[in-house]
Amino acid sequence: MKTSITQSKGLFRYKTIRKLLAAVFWLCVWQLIYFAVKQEILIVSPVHVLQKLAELSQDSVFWLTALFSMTHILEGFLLGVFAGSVLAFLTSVSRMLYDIFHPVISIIKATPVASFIILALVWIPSVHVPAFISFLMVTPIVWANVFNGIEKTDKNLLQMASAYRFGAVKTVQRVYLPSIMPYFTAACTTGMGLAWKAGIAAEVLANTHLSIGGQIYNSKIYIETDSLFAWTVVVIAMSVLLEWLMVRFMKTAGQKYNVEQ
Amino acid sequence: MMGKCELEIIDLTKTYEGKNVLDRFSLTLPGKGTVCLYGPSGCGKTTLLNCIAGLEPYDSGSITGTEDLKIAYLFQEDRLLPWISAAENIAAVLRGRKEQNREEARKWMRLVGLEGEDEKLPAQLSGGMKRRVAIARTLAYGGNLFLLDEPFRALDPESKEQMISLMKNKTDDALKILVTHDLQEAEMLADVTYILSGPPVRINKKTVRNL
Repeated sequence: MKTSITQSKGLFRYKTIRKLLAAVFWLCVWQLIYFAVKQEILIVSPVHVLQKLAELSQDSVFWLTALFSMTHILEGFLLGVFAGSVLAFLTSVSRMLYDIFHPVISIIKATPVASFIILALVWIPSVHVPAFISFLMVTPIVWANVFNGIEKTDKNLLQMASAYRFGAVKTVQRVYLPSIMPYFTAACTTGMGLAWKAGIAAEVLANTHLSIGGQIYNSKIYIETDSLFAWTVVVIAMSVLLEWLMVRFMKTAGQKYNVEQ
Repeated sequence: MMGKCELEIIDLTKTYEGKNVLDRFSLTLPGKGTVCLYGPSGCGKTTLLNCIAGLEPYDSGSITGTEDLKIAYLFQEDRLLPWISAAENIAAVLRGRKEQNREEARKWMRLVGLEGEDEKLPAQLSGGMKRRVAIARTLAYGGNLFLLDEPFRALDPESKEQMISLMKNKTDDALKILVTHDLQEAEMLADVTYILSGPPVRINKKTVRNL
């Protein structure tokens, strides 16, 4: 037992070192490109980006901007997860509903995000556009994955549940949810990244007040490359952090309810 | 051993993927004892069990006498939930309180010779162990009618003997319909054996064990 704990600790340390080395490698590549280009307007050094981040973070507007962007994107993401799950359930119980919704979902998947952003700017107030776009990007992914999970639920296990009179609630809890969970987790992970990308793009085009996208737009206008890099780092950090928190939450919930990830 | 007629299958007809699996099939079964359906693979025995269990619809005919019965079905495959432990698989079919079910499941794990394996997931068990968990689940669920589809598949001779003895003890007052390919198993367990052929399922021969 002791040996296995020591071994797993060693493995964890080895993995962490490997990841850190990879990060250092890419930071070095970035720095080398910076040395090669030597034009601050095209590329800024990692150190410079860190300095800019430190400078920005001293202003309360920075935190408000990050918070508002996160709120809008999360709002769209959560609505998308909810709508996608409900749609998946409805389309799996009714072929008619599947035939109705499937083309819509396919169109949303195939349409360029920019087209939707421009249309949304015409349809709704610009402040709601990032949330709407995130919602629009997440819904098809969640729908497709959860629908797939429902369809791929083992028919033998469903028959077993029926033979042993599990009832609807127990069948959902014991058979459907554990089958769907890996698909749902994958959809949420992909959806979270996409919600950030599309949401920020919407903020850039909408140039909404107190938004990361708005700041990125301003960086472009005033040719502040360091600011552009710094805000991009903020987006990446927040997306990764939220994805990590979400996976942790799902794992904990899964363990509590005997649901596999 | 054989009681009054309790379960009647009359003119049962079922077509599956264009194939006539059951064609006006009739059979009358007693209220208790062991009835064996012996026949080659694919002759329609499992479909017949599924129809009796109410898991598959049939085109015409009727099955009477199952309305008030509690049916316990041991499927040909183990059909254990892969995401919960062996003991939890047994507890999942029980109706009592959570702690009570857990205790009952542990008892069944002991009875099938799997003490200490309670917390293992099905994937961590051997084929024979999984089969014993599936048997324990069926017996723990209990009932008046046991549908046993190749119940001792994947068991070594010793385990098979133990399971047969356990099954006999725990299902004494019930009707057991046993599907098997093993004639020796049929002769050992059954009060009545129907030798079937098909599809569609036909009774070729009926043998009654001399008691």
